[in-house]
Amino acid sequence: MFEGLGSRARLVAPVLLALLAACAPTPDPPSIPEPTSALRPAPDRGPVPADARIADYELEARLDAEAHRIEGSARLTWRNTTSRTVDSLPFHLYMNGFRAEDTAWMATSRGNHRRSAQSEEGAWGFIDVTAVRLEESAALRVAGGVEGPAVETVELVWSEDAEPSTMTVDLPRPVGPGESVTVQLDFTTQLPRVFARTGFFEDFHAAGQWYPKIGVLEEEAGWQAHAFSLFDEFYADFGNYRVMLDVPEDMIVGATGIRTVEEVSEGRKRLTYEAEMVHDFAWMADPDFVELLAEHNGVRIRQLIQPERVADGEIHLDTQIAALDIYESRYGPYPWSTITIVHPPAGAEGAGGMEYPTLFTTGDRAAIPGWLRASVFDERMSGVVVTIHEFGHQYFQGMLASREHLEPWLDEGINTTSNVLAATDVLGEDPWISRFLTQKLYLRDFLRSAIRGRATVEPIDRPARAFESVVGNYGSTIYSRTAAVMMTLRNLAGTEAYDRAFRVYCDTWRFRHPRGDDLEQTLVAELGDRINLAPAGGEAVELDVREYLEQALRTTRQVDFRVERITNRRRLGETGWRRGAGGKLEGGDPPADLETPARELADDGVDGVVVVHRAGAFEVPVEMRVEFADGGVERLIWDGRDRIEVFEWPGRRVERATLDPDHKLLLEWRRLDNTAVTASVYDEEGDGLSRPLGDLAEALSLALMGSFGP
Amino acid sequence: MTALRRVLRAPGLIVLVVAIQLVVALILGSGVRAAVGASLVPYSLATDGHLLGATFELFGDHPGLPVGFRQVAVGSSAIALVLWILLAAPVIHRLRSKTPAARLAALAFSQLPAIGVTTLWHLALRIVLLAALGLLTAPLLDHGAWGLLGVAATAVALAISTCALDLARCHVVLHGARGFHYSTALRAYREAVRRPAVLVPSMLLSFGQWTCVAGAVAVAMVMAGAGGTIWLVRGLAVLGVVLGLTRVAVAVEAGFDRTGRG
Ligand SMILES: [Zn+2]
Repeated sequence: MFEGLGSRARLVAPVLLALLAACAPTPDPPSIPEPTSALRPAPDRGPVPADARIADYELEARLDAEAHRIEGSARLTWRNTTSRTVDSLPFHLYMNGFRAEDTAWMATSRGNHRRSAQSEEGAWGFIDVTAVRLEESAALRVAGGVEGPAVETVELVWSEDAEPSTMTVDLPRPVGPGESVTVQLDFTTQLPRVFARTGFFEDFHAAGQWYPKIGVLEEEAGWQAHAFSLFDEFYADFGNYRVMLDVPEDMIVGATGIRTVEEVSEGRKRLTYEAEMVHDFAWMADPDFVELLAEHNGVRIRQLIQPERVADGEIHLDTQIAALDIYESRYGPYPWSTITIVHPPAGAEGAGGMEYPTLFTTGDRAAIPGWLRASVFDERMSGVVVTIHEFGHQYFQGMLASREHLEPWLDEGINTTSNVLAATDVLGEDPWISRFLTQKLYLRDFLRSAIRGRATVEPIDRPARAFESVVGNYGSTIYSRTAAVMMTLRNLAGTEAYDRAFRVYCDTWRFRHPRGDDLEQTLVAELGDRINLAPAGGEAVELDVREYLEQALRTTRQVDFRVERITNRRRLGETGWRRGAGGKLEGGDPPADLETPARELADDGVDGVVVVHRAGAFEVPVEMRVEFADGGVERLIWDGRDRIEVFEWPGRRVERATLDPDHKLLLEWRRLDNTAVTASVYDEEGDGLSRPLGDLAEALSLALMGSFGP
Repeated sequence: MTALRRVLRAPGLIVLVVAIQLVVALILGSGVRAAVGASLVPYSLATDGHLLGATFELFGDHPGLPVGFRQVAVGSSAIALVLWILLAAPVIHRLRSKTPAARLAALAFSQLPAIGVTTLWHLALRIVLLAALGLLTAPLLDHGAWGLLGVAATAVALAISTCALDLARCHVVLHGARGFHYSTALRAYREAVRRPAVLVPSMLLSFGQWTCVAGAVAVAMVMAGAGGTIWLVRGLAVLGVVLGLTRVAVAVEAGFDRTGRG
């Protein structure tokens, strides 16, 4: 029987698969021409300040796809827009982070990045700069009083720094304020087998951080070019790029910006790309890519996807289109004319989930069959969340180019906040992210579960390198906790006021390098120092915005409130001895109902008492909802300053008290102690969780015994 | 005599099997209920549908609770496995004919080694069958609704396998087949696929039984917290037991058809 069934099934499966392939609709790619300008037309692209253009690159790269090696040259024109004078240029040589076991990157990562790891094949990547020349511009020569031809080059002295992910080029003469300098660099880049953003896997090549990249000259702090370590991402000035790529003819290429020239000859393909006002240039090539094109509001959306995942293209596209609309309306116009979404192949997951200007890599949607999604288990996280997140970086990194290595929260954390908002915009307030039968896990539950444990042990506002990978709290602290901080502030300050304030930040810092202070000051200025959270007419309960941000970003204080006690006690009566009109003691009757338990007294014969406890050190106002036996419901706001506060309602029996009933405090991850009921209600209702969980355990037991049973 | 009549004529057997299951599940479930309750007191949840979130928070605070769930699963499976090997012989005898309880108890132990070894041989064959099927149908999982075909094929294979196990046990218990030899388990597979009159009702009863047990878990999830949920769960489990016993009775009847004796 086994043999019979086996051989038949062996025949059936390939036939089914063949049928399937025949029935699957062949995608008919719409022909959407490459835009002619890297920026959208002026009315659509929003402000693009000309003075933000500092570093222009002309790059040439020839890919040896067998050796996974790039022979390259760069021509960089850098403008000094500060009042400083510099006599050297620092360059990032990011690829050298993968050069040896003891580089800063490898030492901090130990060869692991997210869930990918270094492998023996293609273990190392490096960038070897072989020449640096200075172009003597006519202006400089005239200033120096020297005659000669219009452009000539001078060999420069350079050296890698002790940590080889940076190098310093000495200039023969200083570059002063307002001056510019043009240097040429020749280099060879060896790609590692990809496990951390950049590299190759079989024929797939992801070229990120592949060329020498100049640091950022800051007015106060001077040159900024940090050694590349595990959590450091990238910080650079804006500029225009013109890049010529020479790749094997069969390669399908995606790159930052627009393609302006394509020539094919002798088995090679030469492509020219142009990008404007970007601070990086990345390109990816794979002969297996299938191209899916679409257009939305004049932005060309190009997906490069693996053949076996083409069916996922639609959901990523829908997500991208929704995200584009949401981000434009929330954070201002998207300035560029293209978005390229690259889906790395299986085996190259290490390249997934990375942002570059106008191009990002995404992740695959979990391979859960549709029928299973429709019935037993579904989720809304895998794949599409990566697309939203990496597109979000076009704003929070791509345009608002903060110093990610120093203030990662301002990049990853603010971007994650924007992702949460995008999810609620599309899926509604309180969206679910995974569903098992009818039980759902909601985004707010997910966020709360992400910010407990190790996420609580260090403050948010710290440089990336202050986080040790072995502690395992970088992602939860920087991404999730920052999002909870911002969403909590938004809930407290009012969503409209917060969104307006945040938009001011975005408009002010487009194509700039904002700092955390800038965001905080904008929020304080726009929301006000102090926000009164009490309802009109009530006693003021203020949220001090500055203090909130200080606690949230620079301390490890946790938001945690609990209902310490809820009870009813016999109402104060008026019996006893009292002085009468003549000064004599009168009365002396015993108190009524003194020995009757409070739960048996009339509802107006008791005083309801709720004791609330600020169990966490974080001081922030909190709302409380109180339900009474008479059917009444009251809401009040407590300033959350003292550790304990006692609330009392004379002549009313309380039944239930809930702290933060509207879930405004997303930072509060311990919520099970936020609702308490009186003993009599508890006896009636139970706790709400022991019954369903006990029932489930019993059902599980019966199911397993039944399955193994007779 | 139909298989169902055989089962219904043995009410004591039904009560015994049902009682064992319900009592074991009640003890294990009550443990979880009490542990969860003790972890929460005096707080009460207004989960407004956020049961999973609250559960994860509770499990995060009390890592012993998910371990408790695992113990329920492991414990129930282990109890069931031992119990049904032990009960196989008396159940089969009782379904064949009314037998004094003392004799049934003696049979449980005297035939335990043969039944145990037959079951192990059977499980080895079942694992090979399912693994081969899994390899064949795994590619279908990536092809949308075609994946259902793989699941259906697995369910059919399991049902055939269950029928074969019933037949093998009946041969050992009733007809003196060699329980220690793998051929008894193997021949039962061959017999199952060659006798559609036995296989089809057995498979349908298996599907019904599994629907009941899966339904019990689904009901506990879908109706979580609603009053009366647990009684619906128990009801489904009882129905599953009756269907399961009837399935065994189908194999007992098959022995009559073949041997012509009782
Ligand atoms: Zn990110």
